[in-house]
Amino acid sequence: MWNEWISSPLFGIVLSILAFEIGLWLNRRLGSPVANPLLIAVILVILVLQLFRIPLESFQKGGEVISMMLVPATAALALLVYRQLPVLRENFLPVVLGCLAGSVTSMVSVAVCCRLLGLDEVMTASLLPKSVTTPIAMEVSASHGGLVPITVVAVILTGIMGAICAPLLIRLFHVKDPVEAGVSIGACSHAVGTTRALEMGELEGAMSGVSIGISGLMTVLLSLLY
Amino acid sequence: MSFLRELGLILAVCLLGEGIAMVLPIPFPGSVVAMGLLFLLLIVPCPVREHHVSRLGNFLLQNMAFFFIPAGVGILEYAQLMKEQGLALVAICFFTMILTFGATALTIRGVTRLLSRKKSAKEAAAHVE
Repeated sequence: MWNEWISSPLFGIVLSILAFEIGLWLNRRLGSPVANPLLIAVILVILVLQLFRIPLESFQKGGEVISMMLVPATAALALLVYRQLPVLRENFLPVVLGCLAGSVTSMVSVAVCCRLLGLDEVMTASLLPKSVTTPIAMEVSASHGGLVPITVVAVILTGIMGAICAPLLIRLFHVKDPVEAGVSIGACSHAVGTTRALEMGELEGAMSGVSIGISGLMTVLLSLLY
Repeated sequence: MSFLRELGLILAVCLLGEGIAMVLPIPFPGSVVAMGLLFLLLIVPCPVREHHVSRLGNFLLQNMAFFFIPAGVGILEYAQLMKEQGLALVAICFFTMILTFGATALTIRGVTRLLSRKKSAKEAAAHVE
């Protein structure tokens, strides 16, 4: 009966929502980018599965329902770009070229690092799109023979590191302009970094959001060449 | 617009995006095609306006991270691989993140300067005339 109960798709959905709510609560409580709600939720779910010896397949029955919503979630990024149309129009060329340079740098440097550290092709394909937003990174990884869960972990890790390091990077590269700061944060650490950019200011946050969409698109286009 | 109709509209755009992605000669993510389609719908004069998709759209944007939980939990299948190469993965993510930030920032600064120099040169030329 226990097995039947945990095999209901509702089990995975309820567990995920519960874990995410705890993650959000901890994030508010600790107020630190290290306490990333997604990271906490993933760890909590894994702990529950291990502790009660629940097979991954049972959890993924509900997981598949949640993953299905990734397509509309990606489409909703269009809303983010649309809302910042005036600022984007004013800075169109610098923003687009900046995102292009960021995407090229990210992919080339990942490929070189993987080669240097002796990682195989599957691992390289999994890490290649790690600077862009998860739904796009997942698609790029899958279509190049990467392992999607590794990509997701790399994307989350990169995002958290970007959010923590953003103020330091701004000082390191002597960034003065809020548009430059926002786009750079979004290009290197997507939505997780954007949460930090939003804390710096509305313009920084908005431009970071815009660069999620543009960098994602650039990465898809570049990956066609790979 | 009712929430159900909003859901129907966004899912229809997604379905159309996936359909287009299937007939494209190159492997392009359907979700990204859907994003482009929705953006087009918003900027061209048509019956679909921002408030027709903003309730569900805001919900998806605000809870974006939630939808990645199952994909992240999938790492369980690769525990052995992570034990062997996890450290390399963290190092690569950190190092390339700094490079990506730098490349983006310096490019934006360079292009902005170039454009403003061109603009002021044009203005100076107009002044001389």
